[in-house]
Amino acid sequence: MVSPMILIALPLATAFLIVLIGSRVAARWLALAAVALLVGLAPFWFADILRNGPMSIVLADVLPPLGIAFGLDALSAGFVLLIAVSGLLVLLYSVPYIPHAGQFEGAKKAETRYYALFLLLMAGSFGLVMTKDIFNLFVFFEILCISSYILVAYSQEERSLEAGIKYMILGSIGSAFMLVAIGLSYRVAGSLAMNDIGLALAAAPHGYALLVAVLFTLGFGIEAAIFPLNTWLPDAHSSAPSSISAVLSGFVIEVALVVLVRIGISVFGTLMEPALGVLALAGVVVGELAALGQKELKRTLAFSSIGQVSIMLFAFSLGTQSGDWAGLGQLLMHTGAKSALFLVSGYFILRTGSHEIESYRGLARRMPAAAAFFSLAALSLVGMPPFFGFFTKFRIIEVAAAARSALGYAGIVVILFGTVIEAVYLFRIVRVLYGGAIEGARSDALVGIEAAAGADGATPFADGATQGALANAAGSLASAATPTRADLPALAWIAVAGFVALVLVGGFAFPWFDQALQPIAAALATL
Amino acid sequence: MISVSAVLYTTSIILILLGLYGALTRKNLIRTVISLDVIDLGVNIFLITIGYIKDGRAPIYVVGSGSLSDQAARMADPLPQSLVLTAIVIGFGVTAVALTLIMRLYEKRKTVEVSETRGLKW
Amino acid sequence: MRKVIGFLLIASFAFFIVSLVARDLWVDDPSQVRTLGQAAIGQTIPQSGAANTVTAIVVQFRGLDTLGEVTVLFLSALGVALLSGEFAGRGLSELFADDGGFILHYGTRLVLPLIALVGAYIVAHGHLSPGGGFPGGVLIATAVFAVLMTNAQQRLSTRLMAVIEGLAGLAFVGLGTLGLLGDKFSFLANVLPKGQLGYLFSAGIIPLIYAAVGTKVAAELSTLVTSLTGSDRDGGEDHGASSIPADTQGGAR
Repeated sequence: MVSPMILIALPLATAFLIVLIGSRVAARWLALAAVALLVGLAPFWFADILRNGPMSIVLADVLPPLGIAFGLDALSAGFVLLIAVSGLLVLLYSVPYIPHAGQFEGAKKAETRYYALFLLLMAGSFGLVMTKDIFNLFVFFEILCISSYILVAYSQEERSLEAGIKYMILGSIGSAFMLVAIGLSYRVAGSLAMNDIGLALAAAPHGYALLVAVLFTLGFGIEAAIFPLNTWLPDAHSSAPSSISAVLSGFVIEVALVVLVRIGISVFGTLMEPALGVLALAGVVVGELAALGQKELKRTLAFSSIGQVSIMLFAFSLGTQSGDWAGLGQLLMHTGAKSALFLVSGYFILRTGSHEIESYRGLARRMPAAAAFFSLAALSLVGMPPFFGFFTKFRIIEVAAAARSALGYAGIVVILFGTVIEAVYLFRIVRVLYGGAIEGARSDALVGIEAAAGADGATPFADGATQGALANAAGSLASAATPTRADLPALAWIAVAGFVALVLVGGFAFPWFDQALQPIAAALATL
Repeated sequence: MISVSAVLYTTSIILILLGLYGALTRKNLIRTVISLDVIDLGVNIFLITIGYIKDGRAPIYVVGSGSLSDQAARMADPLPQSLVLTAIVIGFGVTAVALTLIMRLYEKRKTVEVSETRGLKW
Repeated sequence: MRKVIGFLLIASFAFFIVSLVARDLWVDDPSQVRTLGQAAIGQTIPQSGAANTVTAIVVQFRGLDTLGEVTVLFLSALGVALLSGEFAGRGLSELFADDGGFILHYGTRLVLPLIALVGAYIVAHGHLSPGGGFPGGVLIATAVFAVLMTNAQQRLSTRLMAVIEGLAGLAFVGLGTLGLLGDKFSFLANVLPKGQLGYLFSAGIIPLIYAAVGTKVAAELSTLVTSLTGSDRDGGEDHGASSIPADTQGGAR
């Protein structure tokens, strides 16, 4: 069996090699090969851990706590699989997409560096889920953060530079808080291994433990986008290249959230749970309401990520294993659906050159496949019955009801409310995609017939088009007919289809997925 | 007698709070980055203070100046020192990227003021 | 308004911290090193063979942190190069456009080898004395920095730097993988003979790793400076000059 250390060593070595060679083509192939290798290995580690229990890795031949406590358990192996697979899919999308992502000086050189940065971002995520040492966690957290600051600003347009700066300022304040928390922990525990710190904090004065917990949550919560700390997210996720938005929304915030929850449970005890639950519900309301008011597609999706992540956080904060289980299901669904949505919106932006939702009117007619993928993922995100999202949301509500607490009941109300809002804004987008063409049919019957043929599943949502939309239709139909800028080859669609397949399979084989998630949920509460 | 570590802890907390105040209130991005560095400095002092012990020596063995176990007994805590080494390097990396981002934004905007950059209000 | 809110926020935060931990922090100085520090002091010689316990921790016991740290530096060099577009003829290049006068120009050439030598010494003696790959690497980079600053025509090839950087990084990972090949089967394990305490050739892979780190840090910082100042030999042609003023005015309004 290959040592799981390859998860860290291979992406790092490949990134160094990419910079060493300095060729675009080599960078693509090296990155793809390295991640493909990890995707090939990840299921074996997962299976091995399910059979033989957690695998601890001794680093530098020094046993923890003096050495760094590191290892794979069901949770980290599950996340390694998730990160590796979505990393590979997004890389497949990046190969044709990135050359179009930025028009600036040195864009060709930058493309080479993009792959190195992407690999480092993946290495940071792998390290984050595998480490059991609090300072090592900080180091991998920084690798993850810095690579995302840079990647957010990749296109070097004003808005992405701004978003990068904002993200970076908040992120640096967060990491300073984390360092203070680490220092305070070492001071009381005399150790950096998480389980030692957990024991020491339980015995420490309540105020001391509370301060450590608050500082740590403030620091890590910025990356995990917990409600008041998420002001950077809509900017960063919407102005990053779409492949990076897909990664950031698809697994980066989720990884940060899960690691935070895991440390919250095992190190700080139940100190933070009630507060996190309340913040999560506030996040659902704020995120979904803000998403409703957006005019740009990617901003809408970014705000929706805040809402979705808050739903997961709510499930985790219930403090029961079934809550963790339900939250993980939601997480897996969100990775599939949101990555697909961002990748498709990257395609829309590429083709139309516009970020505005209104300018996508009638796109379904010209890009039936893209629109269909978008609609499927959106339906799942909202939680329509045959899709993955329905089961995961239903499960969370079930668990919240079983908690029989005020927070649980409040959660049910808030999640249902959030779902309604989500349905409003996502269906509005879907309606714009399909609706324009159908509105156009009133002036041009032939176009209408074509559109109806292409619109298949989404027609029910299109027939409720309002009079206001009717007024726009003619104008936007004209704008939709402007020449296309660039097209993405089949390679990119494999990536989108992969994420959509996760959402579809998740719905139809939900019991199977549920079964697979159970050991992961069980591992969340242990270290 | 005031303890040395109390003085150092106080200094570091004051520095962190000063930096935070600067980062929250300054509109000039360069000043914000300087504030972030002040926070970093405070944090580093905080970390290194944790390793302070009374009458401690540098945690390095010197061949030929007393027995090794004697030396070991008087050493300051080396662990926070190694953590600070890492933290300094990481802080440096973040500052370099932050300044580059700001320079790039300045090229586009000809200003480094937050108030004049729409997207940066928070 | 902003300042008042900021002040209130900070004041309440300060109150929060002081009320929670003041009693714990403002106690007498400890006379005893904490558990893990004690373990590190005790294990340094038997496990690593180094005289400097901080080095033993940084390079061996917590070697993965250092690999991550090097990666962060690598990241920031990568990011600066990506975002600056090498600032060819722009950026801070105006500041670097003159020779700094006769004395600086030739004085730098005189001390250059000495700076580099001290840097190399510090890198090589990291396991014995204070210093090591990071400070030594920075020192070597300052030599490069001085030359760029005092010689307007001087250019540095970022391509060459990238090659050095990449090779040093691969060497670090490679040395780590060495541990996986041996019977200890542990990433970054110190598999080479430890030698005698206090000698230059001791402490197994620690000096080797520090040499890689020193090279990498020197190359990365040189890349950073080169990208920021637009002194890249491989960069594009000169563009219209525009630079950030040394003193960005305003802010204190």
